Amino acid sequence: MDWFFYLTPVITALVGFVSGWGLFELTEWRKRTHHQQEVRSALMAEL
Amino acid sequence: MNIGKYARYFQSTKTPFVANEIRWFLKHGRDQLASAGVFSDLPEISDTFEKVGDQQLVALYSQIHETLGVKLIFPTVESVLAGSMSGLSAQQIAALGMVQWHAHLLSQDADMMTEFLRMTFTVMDDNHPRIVENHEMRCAAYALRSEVLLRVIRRALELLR
Repeated sequence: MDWFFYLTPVITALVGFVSGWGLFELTEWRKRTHHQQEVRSALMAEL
Repeated sequence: MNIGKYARYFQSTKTPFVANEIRWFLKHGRDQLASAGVFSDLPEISDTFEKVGDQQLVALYSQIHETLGVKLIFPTVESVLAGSMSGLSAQQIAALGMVQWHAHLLSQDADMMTEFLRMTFTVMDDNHPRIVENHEMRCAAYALRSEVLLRVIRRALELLR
């Protein structure tokens, strides 16, 4: 069971990193799409 | 508004187009002013202009003798084209580029109109009629460019929707 002892923190760190990264990307994507929507509306209003 | 103000430069075959543009501008302009809260007590004029025939409407607007062209600016289009995160497709960006290009050509015509108008006050004798003719040609070019720009803008709007 020694391998489990050593691997658990590695797996935990990996899962934490991947979920943190995913959450960051999701937030960025939401911000980006919102901004793009605003730009599109402003463009259409200007034209 | 350019189409209406330069109505006299359009051929008679384009009368329905010019009349429709004048009506569109009147209605759209009124709605915009009303929505912005400016002159909210404007009378409903679109109905009146709906009843006037195309020929009559264009004849009325043809009496306008505009001597200077207006330069149109599109700050949002410019910033979108300069930015890298617009999220627009290549086709949409190309359409916006075309809008900017034709707006640039329109402002060149506007500049030339200003220049030739200025020259009509300074150049005399034999060259004066030539300057007047050149100014008139530039006014016609400005009117035609306005039509092209209008079509390009509508195409860009179609692609953006």
